[in-house]
Amino acid sequence: MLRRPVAAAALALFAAACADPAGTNLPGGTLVVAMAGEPNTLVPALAATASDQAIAQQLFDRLADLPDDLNTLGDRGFRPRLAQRWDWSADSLQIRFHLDPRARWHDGRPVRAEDVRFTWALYADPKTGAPFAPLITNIDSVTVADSLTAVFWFHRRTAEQFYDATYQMLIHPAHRLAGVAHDSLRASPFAQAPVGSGRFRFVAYQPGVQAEIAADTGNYKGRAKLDRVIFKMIGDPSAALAQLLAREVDVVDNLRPEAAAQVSARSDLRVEPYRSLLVGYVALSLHDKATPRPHPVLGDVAMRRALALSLDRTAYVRAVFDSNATVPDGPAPSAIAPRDTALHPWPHDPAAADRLLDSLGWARGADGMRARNGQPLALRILVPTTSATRQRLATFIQAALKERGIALTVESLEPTAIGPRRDARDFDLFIQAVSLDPTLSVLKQSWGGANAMVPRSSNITGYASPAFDALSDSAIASGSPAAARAYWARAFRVINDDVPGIWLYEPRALMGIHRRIEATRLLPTYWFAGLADWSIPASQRLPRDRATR
Amino acid sequence: VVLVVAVASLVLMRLAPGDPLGASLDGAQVPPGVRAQWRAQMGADVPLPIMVLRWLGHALTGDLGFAYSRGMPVARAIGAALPWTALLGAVALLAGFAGGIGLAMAQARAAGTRLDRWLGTGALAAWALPEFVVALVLVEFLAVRWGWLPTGGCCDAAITGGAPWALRVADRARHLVLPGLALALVIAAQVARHQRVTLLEAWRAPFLRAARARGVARAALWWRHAWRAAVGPTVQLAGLSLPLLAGGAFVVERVFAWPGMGQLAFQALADRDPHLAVGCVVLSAALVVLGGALAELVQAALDPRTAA
Repeated sequence: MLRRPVAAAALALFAAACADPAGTNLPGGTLVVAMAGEPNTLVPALAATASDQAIAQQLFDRLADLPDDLNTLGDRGFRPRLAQRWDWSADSLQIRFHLDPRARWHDGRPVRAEDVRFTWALYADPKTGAPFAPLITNIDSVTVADSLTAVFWFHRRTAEQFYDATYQMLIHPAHRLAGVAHDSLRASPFAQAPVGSGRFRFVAYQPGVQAEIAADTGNYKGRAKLDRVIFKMIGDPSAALAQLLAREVDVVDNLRPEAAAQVSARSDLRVEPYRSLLVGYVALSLHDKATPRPHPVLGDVAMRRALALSLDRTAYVRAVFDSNATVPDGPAPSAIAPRDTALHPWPHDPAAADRLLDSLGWARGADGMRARNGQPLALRILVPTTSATRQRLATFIQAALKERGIALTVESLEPTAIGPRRDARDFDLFIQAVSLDPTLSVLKQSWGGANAMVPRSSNITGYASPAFDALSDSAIASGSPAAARAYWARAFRVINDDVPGIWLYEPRALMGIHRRIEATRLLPTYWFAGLADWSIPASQRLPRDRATR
Repeated sequence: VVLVVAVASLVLMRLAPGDPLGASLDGAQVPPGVRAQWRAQMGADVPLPIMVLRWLGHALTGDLGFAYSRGMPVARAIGAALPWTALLGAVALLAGFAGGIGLAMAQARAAGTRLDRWLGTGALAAWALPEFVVALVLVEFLAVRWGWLPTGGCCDAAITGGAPWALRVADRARHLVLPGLALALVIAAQVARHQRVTLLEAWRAPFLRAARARGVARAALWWRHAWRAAVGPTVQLAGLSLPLLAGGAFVVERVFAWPGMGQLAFQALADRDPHLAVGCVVLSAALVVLGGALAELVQAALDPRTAA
């Protein structure tokens, strides 16, 4: 049995060589990726940051992969991964996943249904502290029907049952982790040398220097087209850019627009834009700090609408991002937002804003600034010092509101200092940038009424709308993808009318990349999702592409 | 001293505005319940006195805690970064002190001439320039424009563990040049300013006038007599520079992506990782104490009059 993957890989190589006598498409090469942050963990169940995910997703497999169109409703378009196929029960409350019998862990042991059951138990156990555990609560249990069949049982039918079962969990090896206490997983030996079933296997991790993974040559899904991928830890964006320009690294993600211009000017590099799931918006505090009392100024929906009408968002986004961002129509980026022609962000209409402010009793004084009953109309906006784009946007907003007679103070703070202020809702306006999961159901966390008064919840504005909650609940509970989309479109109209946030930008992510790299499937979820299919033509390989360990 | 520094660091880390789980998770949708669980695992949810006592209890057994932002024990994180900083610090200190002493000697021997003024102005400029400016200029010209040296990092991705030993050493050396030079230039300028003054003072001392009268060769006068008498403050300076070997140079390590203690401490502070930050501070404090003591010992050996 152990020889089968090797034989399959040899056959695949032979076939490739026959089709390509010059050998230009043979696998090989080394990709060096600049990684902005050190991974916090190599254990997928604990992975929360992009750095964690970048490595974990190469080493471990899901049961099925999300389709390229990011559909999360039903199972349409999902691509088999560890699961070769799946069946639904008649009542749709269970899904039987039939595992690929060829799948092996990198230590040679076969992947079995028990691994799937173990993985769900690991994610679901609160002691583990899995960040995505709250997103799989609709899974009641996972049982083992036979060694290659795992059965997922659900509490209730929803349009995203299949997505819940497949997207959030990377399957862990039970035989490696069975004796490890779930609350000490982070410090376990497995966390230092993870063993997965993905098309890359773990090679080495030098803290602060680099993490290295290599192609699993006998992998059941086919050998990765690259020999090695090295994630170099380069915390400073300028240092990462310098290393890209000097050809010491091949990929730098999240280029700033000015850096992208430098990269574009080079013949050996290119800029690869791709859609992202990031959305930036001005969160408006609806409560007086963390109390149930309405915010003295922003508690009034007319005031929030006046603010939205005051801002020329298209112009600001153009000035800050050039053509690399657009203004979203709602709280989610267009990649996953419902297609609804009736959705329009509030237009830039200073005259309408003035009329609203006047009607609320905020009259202009001799200096042009507004006040009511002797109280000046003054607000504060919170932005992180680490985001140049958000700082610039705050300046534009400040200038625009000043023209409307509203004094806005910009408070720039370190991200670590922003956290407690955000959690305590100690802000008036806050420019928030959130990278969403590919499902709209995550919006319940940020905008759902159930979280409105929960301390430290993602609903930082305290927004609570029975109409929005009912529509989003209906969308989530809907068994029909078409109905779910229609409910979401209506929910977006409700939240747009209520203006708990002013949607500012959804950027196209810019990646600086060496020209010899053929990058495929840059998905908005994670650009590295298709890394195993990236390749480097043999004729264009550099000396480091031919290096072996 | 180290104990006081450790306790003060723990208290300051706790009192400083910020959230240990804030920075690295900016934008990530980690729910509050999970964050609370992580805080509990970090020991960040207990009252400050208990946290301090717990840390001290563990530290006495050699356990500096768990570096949450790195997913590994603090000792391992420091153990991974320390050799890189020690290497960079040692090279920079050796080059900086050798260069600085040489520069000072050249200035002192040409005291009052145009050469002395030029060298003095150059040293002053190098001392006055912020390290990051020196570092960025070096990267721009020697690495990006002319491609002579790597822009940063400590090793080439192509040079793997299986590569010949000599090749790996050469690779490390190439990566060491720019950060080493950026640090050494500033150290050399500082040393030269100190050393020149003390050399000229020694040169005017009676014992040197006597040696000159006895017809001792000029080179021997400078190196054997004047420099030996003038080296004391420089040794003190060297001792006080020892923390560079362990504390790292924040800016230079950051600009050159050098994986040393400076980067580690910077990231620990940015991530508000309390155990890791305190571990870095404690190590640096221990080195300051050790460096001061070593400097006094060496100076006493060189000049027995200074021994108390």
